[in-house]
Amino acid sequence: MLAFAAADAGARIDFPSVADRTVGIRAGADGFGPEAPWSVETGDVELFGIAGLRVAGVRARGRMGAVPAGVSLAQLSSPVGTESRAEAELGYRPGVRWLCLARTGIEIVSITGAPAEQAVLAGFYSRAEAGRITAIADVDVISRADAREIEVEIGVVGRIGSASIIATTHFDGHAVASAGIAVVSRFAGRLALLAGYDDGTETIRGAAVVSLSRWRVGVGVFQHAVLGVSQGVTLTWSR
Amino acid sequence: MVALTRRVPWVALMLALACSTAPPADWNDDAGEWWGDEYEGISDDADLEDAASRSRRMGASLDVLVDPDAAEGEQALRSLGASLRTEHSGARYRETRGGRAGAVEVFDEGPLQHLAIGFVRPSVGEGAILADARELGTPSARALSSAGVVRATPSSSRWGSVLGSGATISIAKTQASVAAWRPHDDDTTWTVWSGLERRFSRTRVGAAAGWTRRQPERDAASLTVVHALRSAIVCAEAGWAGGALAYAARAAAGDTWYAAFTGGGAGPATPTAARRGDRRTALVERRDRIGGVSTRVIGSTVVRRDGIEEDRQHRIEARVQSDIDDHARVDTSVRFVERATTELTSPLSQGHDERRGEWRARASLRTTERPSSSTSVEHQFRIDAVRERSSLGLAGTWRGKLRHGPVDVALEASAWGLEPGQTGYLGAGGLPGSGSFTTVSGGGSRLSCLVRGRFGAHVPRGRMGPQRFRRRNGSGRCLAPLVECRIAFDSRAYPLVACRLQGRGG
Repeated sequence: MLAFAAADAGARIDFPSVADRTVGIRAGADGFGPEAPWSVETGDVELFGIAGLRVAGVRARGRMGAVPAGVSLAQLSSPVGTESRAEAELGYRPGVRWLCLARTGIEIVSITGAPAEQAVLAGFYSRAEAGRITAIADVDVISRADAREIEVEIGVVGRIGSASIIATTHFDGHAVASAGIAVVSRFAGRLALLAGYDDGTETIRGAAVVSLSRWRVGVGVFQHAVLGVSQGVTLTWSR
Repeated sequence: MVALTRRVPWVALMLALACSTAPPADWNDDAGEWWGDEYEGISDDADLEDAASRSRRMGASLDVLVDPDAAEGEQALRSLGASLRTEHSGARYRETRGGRAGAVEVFDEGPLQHLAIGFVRPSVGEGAILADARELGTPSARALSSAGVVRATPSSSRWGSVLGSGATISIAKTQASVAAWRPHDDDTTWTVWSGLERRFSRTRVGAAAGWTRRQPERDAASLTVVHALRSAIVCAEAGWAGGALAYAARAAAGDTWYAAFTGGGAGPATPTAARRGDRRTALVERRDRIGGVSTRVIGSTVVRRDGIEEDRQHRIEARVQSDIDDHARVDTSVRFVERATTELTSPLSQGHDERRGEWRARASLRTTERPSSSTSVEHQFRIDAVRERSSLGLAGTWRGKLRHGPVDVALEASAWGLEPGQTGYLGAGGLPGSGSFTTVSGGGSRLSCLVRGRFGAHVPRGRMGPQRFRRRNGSGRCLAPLVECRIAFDSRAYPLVACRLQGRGG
């Protein structure tokens, strides 16, 4: 999923997938850009080189005038169980300067030998453009049977020529606040590279994206000092 | 079920408000603009003293803040506030769970320049002897127009106010003032001040004397001089209280720089007398504007001695405000505060010295968008950082406001990761009477929603509302009614309902 951030210099953080929550990375393509009113993307990430620990997901998005909408499905598989997430989102984008999205969904955690736990998801995403700066806020509300968690992520993207600097801060609603920074550079309109570091997950990130006609292929690698290397690939078709 | 039934009238009212078509009113509850102990001082009256009571225009407002989920035995009414302003008089009242406060004032009526009765905030001269109690924690530069010998400012808050009265009479170039007050909880300690002020061409000279009836009785005197230069103003005050000298000075040159110094015994309204070496403050401020960038640098120091203890606070703050374009603005600030406490039990002992440093920084981006003539959207993205006791704490806030016709919807999400000893400041949600900010510590998050609906006419800057909402008062002036209802849901504080009835006249 990280690879999509490199493809789009805006580096949106709007892919609410299991992978994002697991690896602490919120990065995705801007499926609502004027150049791509419809898009379908799928991705698969192998986590930390552990056999059977991987994330796969698919998302479809479309836009009808000023109203974007989308659905996404994702599943984290592990040797001890699965975590599945389904979400639907609906938004409003009156112009190019502002976009808001509200989303709702369900999350099911199944661990071998234990009853499945279900959580109701709600979220809100807002993005505002101001000159060369894009500010993003992403709010997640996860309501479980015994507790409710509110997570907030605020990101700022500054554009300088064909390069972008992305700074994000993530609050998990408890006592952990983490910050991340990344640099994106695009070459010849078809190749984009990303490099970054996230303090919360203590991972170094790297990604490359190649755009060919209506297809976009991205590969991403992120390394944790203790847990090891994760790697993934994403494929997007848009029209 | 009972709670649900109680909310039905509010829902019905909201639906009715949504059907009206009045243009949006100014919404000045800029949540998240405070560090709690901000340089300007804590303005806990800001919510109540709305435009109707601050301006000299006619106006009236009534605020009710209700907690529908109040616990059994707990009062559901959180705050009740009312204010009335006519051409030459005004009144304000506020009732909270902490008590009641209010004042009546008359101004510009013949030779009577100002009269205030009730809860007042007294001050003398430049504050060398007597200053607003709310300014004690942080030096605060006063507005230049507030120069005067004895002042009694009406208040609707118990914090920093006393019970009493003050009057100022102005005849030609001479001004006479008198004020008397006592603490809320002590009807035996009365303080009386009187002053005389004379204006010359570019200079104003005033003298004041005061006396406090308590054991031991104390008296004080003050001499104030204000002189205007070509593009600057200089104020100085020398005072004597309880055998000690006190002084204060203030200078300002346009909007560029500003400085104020106070020495001696600037103390709260009660007791009135200063003690030797009680408090010394200094404040320097410089403002600049280069293109679309405004800067403001503020430095201040406070030294307070009390017996064998000495407290010092040094603070420096820099703010930069930059317009990205017509619809977006970036604000950044950084502030460093050092607090030190020294306790010297005897001249021969080593004493005890404790120092504590803290810095805060914040950055916020505000954007405004108008998708249509009746709709506007505002955003604020804000990050706060505090470093205290060698650890860094962060707080993030996103706030969005959607205004469409008579209905405003504001959604705010905040989360913070702070150490137990660190404090963060969040906006209180914009409900009248609920206060300006709330403090948080440790880790947590908050999601709040505020819905505001209006019914009636809005009067933007001297323009009256639709004809059908007008009514004539006795003097032939218009009074435009405005009913406003705010409902707030907060994941930490739970639902609150505020209703404001307001009218303004031309």
